[in-house]
Amino acid sequence: MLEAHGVGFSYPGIRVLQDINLTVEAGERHAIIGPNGAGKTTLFKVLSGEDIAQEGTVTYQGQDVTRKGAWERVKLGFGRTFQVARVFPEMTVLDNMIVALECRQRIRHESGGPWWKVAAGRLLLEEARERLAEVRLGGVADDEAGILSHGDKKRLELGLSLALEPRILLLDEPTAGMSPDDRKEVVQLLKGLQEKRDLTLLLTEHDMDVVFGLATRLTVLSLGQILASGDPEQVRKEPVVREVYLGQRH
Amino acid sequence: MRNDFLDVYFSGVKGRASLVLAMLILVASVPFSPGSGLTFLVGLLMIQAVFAISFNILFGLTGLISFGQAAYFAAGAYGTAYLMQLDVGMPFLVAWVLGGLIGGVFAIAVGLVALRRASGIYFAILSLALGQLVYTVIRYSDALGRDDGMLGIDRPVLNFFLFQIDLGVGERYFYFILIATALLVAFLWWVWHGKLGRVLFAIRQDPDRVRFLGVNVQRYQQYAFVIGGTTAALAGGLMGPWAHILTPELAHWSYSALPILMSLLGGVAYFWGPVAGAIVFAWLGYITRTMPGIQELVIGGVLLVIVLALPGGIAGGAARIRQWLRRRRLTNEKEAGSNA
Amino acid sequence: MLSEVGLVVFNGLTWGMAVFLVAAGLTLVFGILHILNFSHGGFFMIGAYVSYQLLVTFGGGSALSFYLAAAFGGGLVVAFLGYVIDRLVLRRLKHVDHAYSLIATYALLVLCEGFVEITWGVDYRGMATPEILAGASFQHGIFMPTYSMFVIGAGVVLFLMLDAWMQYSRTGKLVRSVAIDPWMSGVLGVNTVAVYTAVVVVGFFLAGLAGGLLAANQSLSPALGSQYIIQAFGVIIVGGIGSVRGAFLASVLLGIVVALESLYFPYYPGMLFYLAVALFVMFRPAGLIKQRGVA
Repeated sequence: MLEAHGVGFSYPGIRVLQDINLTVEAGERHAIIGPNGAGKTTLFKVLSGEDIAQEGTVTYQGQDVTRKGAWERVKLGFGRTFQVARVFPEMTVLDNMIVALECRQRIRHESGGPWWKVAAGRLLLEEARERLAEVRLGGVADDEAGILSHGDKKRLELGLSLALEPRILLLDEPTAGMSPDDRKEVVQLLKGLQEKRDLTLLLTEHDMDVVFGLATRLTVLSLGQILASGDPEQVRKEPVVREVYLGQRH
Repeated sequence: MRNDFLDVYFSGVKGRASLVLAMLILVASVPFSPGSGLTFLVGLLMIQAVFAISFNILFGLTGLISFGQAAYFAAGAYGTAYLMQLDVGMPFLVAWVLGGLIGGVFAIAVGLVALRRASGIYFAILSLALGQLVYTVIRYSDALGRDDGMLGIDRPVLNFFLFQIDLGVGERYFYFILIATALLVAFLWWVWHGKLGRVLFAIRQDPDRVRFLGVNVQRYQQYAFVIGGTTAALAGGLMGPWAHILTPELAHWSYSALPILMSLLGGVAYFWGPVAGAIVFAWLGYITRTMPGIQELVIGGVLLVIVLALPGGIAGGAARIRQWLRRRRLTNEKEAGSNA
Repeated sequence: MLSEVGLVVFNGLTWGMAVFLVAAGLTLVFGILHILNFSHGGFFMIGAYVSYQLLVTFGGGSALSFYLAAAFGGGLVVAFLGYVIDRLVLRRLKHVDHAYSLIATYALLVLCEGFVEITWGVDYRGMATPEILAGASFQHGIFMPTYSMFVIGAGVVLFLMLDAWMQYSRTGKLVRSVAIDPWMSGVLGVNTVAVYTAVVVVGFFLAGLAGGLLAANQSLSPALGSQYIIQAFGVIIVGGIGSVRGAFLASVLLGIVVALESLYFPYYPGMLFYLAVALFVMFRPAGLIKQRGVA
């Protein structure tokens, strides 16, 4: 579904990614792990269109998207969340969701009711409330998003991304900074959503419980290169991986 | 909060409509007040209020600090006046709309250049530099009166084929300004509160997040630019026949500071903020008009205090007082409840 | 042909060095505080008025030494104002959004204009050019006012002094280290707040000094504050904000552009300047000399 061929990326003076070949199959829950500074976030940026790969190509469903910007990739079916959740802090939670749904209307060229109407239509409002309930934010719909707790912001951002009904969702550390209980909840939420909606997930993660609880495929990144990729249990057993990454932690 | 601070006092469609009606009646009665000076000032105030809102669509709503808003205003003012003075019998309304389009087209051009690369301070300076081009053209074009300005601009006659309205009679042009600015404000209100306004407001808060909602952010910033530029130009177009004279200062960058001052004074987060700011600003200007120097000290001082201590402006201050009152009421009720 | 080249160079340098005198302090302050200071023009104007007042009050006559002393005095007065402004305003702007800090410095400019109007009135004031600078010479077919040569000389001397200070002196290196990485400098024991204040005071001194040096070139009016500032903005942006060398280079370059324009395309004076600045921001936003540590 999403493929990287020979992708390379450098910041001035530092080579961050080198000859990355990665395939994400449809329906996978694909986790990328690696020590800090391995290039996970940069790989994410290159795959999602926030940055453009300097070498190699990125293809999505057979189509070359290497030079396409973030918004164009989203139109094709990408979704993305950030390491530190980014929502619209000065709007209510409900308005956040309405903005996302209206963006979907634009992408699909759907009408949102009469053009002169200022308020969002009834159908859209209903959907917004449903979607907020789905990520368990129904109770805080009228709060300003800026005052939400860290975990709630993460879930809101996930909800905003899901509202566009993406085919592939890129999650940059979806449980960063959460308590162990919250993490379990997010794992369940993601599993449920993925099965319900025919989603492909690509995520980076530090927490091994989350990784092994969620991933159907695992790729290990180190110093900007792919060390191993495959079934999580097999990858876990590979000596080179244990040495470089898991060995450091356990 | 992108809401009106007036909402709480006049909530609901009925309350809001009655407030708007009251405001319109108040303004419409101004020409009946003794002394003609006030009528002129209020007419000017209405034009400047639209100018200020047009800037705040860019700044308060979309998050772009334009330091060249005067260029669009002046483009509209000079464009309209120039077309009126051409000896081709162009109807005033056509000249006015064309003047607005001149401003709009210039805004598109500036937007294409400035939005492409620049952000933050660079954007401000770029919009300033490009705006100064208009100032330079006006100052050194014979057809636009150079430094002397365009003089003797008459109040127009509206020609509706079946009948004509001579706006030169009595205070008719004042009412024309009232209707025209009311329509412009209504349009801008619609932009601010509607679907477009929501996404622009989202862009101000986090453009990257909006990109990942599938929106071409630059294009939407460009929309804001065109709307701000065109409405500023249409406001400017009303200026010539009202003042009978246009001078190049209207295009100078220091005139671009005017809507910035008004918006900050009133509160950039609120649609009506720039209007409140324009009124207070006009009042400050009026009471200090005979004291050169004091005027600048008052205006500069007020602005500085707002940036340093009251970033919400008047409207933000009102909202804070409201919150404080509500909190006090709630605690009072609680105490009353616990006493019972 | 040769005389035309000479004319363009001479006029370009005159324009460029006059603007550089104003821009030098501006770029110093930006380099370290990251605030684009509109009010620099206002304090430039106050420097000009103070120098004028000093000459009038003490009846200095038209000797060059008195003129220079008055300009120096203007610089000192403005430097003191800079210390006060830093304490009251600039220090609080460090964590304010850049759009708001730009507006705050504009408010300061308006305050400067008000101050000048109250103190000296709105009428034009004229200042006599020192006798020795009043003449002109005619060489190689170029008309060269002595005062222009004085401005060029002042600009070059100021540049050489500032550059030597920044590059070779201990305090200059300290300033640069704080500009590049204030946090690290703080860790290494540099009193960064003192460095900020010192740079602001020096920057304002330069504004006042420029006001005094250029006062004889124009009639003084409260509009003076907004006259040079846009040119100075253009110069420091093209030069690479925060870089004294960049500002110097850009002054010369833009001066040549302006001189070429007035010779071959005199219909819309100033147009090419704005276009050149806009093109630079678009295609080389970092400026001629890119400063490290400037966001």
